[in-house]
Amino acid sequence: MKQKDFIKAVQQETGMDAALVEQLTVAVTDGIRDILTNGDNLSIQGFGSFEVRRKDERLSVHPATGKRFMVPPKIVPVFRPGVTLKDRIKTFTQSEPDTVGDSGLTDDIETSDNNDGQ
Amino acid sequence: MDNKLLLADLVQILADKGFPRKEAEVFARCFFQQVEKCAFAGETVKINGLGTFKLQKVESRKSVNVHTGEEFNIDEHYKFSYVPDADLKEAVNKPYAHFDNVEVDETPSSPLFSVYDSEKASGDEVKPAQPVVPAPPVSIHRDAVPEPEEGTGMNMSLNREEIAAEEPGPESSLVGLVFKVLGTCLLLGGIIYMFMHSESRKTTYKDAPQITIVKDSVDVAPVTAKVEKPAVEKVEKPAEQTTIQASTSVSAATAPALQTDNDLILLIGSDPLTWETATKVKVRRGDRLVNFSLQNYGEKVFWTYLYLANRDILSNPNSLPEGTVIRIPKAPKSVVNANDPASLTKARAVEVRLKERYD
Repeated sequence: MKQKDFIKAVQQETGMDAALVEQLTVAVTDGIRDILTNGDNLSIQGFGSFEVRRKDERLSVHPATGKRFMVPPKIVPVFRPGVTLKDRIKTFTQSEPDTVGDSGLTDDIETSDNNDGQ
Repeated sequence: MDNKLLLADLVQILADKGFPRKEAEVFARCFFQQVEKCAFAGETVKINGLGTFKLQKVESRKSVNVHTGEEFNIDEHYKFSYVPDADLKEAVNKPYAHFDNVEVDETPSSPLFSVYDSEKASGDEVKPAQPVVPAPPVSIHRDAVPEPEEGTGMNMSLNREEIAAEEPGPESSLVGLVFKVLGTCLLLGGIIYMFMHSESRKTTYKDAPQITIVKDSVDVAPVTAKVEKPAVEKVEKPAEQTTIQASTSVSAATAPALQTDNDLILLIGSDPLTWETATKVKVRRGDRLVNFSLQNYGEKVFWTYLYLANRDILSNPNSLPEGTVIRIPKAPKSVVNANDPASLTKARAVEVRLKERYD
């Protein structure tokens, strides 16, 4: 789904003018970017939070040449789903017909950040 | 920094941009609900400038309980994936944007393996003596092997004693032995690594203090001459060369005022300080010479020239105080050319020298 389709969907939901919705979408993405570049977090109730994480530098090896590289430290934006969203994903998983019912041992839903920086 | 903002703050930001508050709030709520809704409908939601949201299936896999060591199955499940847009990533990473991947040439495993057999270990152990007195060790290295080997020899014999002491024990001592050998190897590896490191540093310096050492070593050379003549011939030549080098650099150093960076000027072939000024820039927070270089010369490596062109104002290439006005010179095409491999390698050489000096 591209931005166009998304804007259309939001427009139908809110009944707002298409141009206004488009402007607001841009404003929201700009707003989130500004918040994150300031090093702040944005948490949205019921959805999740946008955060920035600092990743330390690390050594990596080029798989083909075997050369070692020092990958510099970086700051990356991450999204962590909130509790409500996590629960919804869990029930979604269970409602899937092809999955095996009870999942008492399953871990928390993983987000895109596996190795936490400091 | 590190503030936790809520939806209300986002709405405030929208209101500050001139949108009616009420609509902004309705929209902001709806925005994230819609993302969630579309994702659950199995669609990939891509929002320009923010990123891509998707509900992703994770196949079932086996895992181990870290406390009990029990194996268990992680069932197939879904996860909410978010991949940030490249623009957003870049904007967030801006404070670190000047960093680059750096190739590391040392292979940490090699010193460990070379220590593993004692012969190589003694050979390696001798090397660290070389940089301090460049000339004579060549002969020491070949003839006086038993002497320097004592160090490692002691270590090894100690090791053997330990082994002998441990021997009575049956299989369990074998495991302990392996651990001990590995431990000492690691230790030796570490020591050698440190030595090598200090060696590489020392050899690359061609500063005044070392020159005096070279001169001393010329006096020392005849002593070793008794041991082996051809080696001494080899020895004396490099000593002469270095003294010649020393004299040239000394004469050059006495000429202009800013002495420390003169060898770099010689290396470049012209002094960036004399280049004609193209523009002047006031340093803002987060600015780096690397960035200025990339903007003006098309390559990051030429930042050294920017430093040299401003070395009358800047005390150290690593610090660029906010508010300083630095000048960006018009660089001669022959020296600064992003498409010319020769000028790139020269710039890298200058960079290496500068880093050695100030890091």
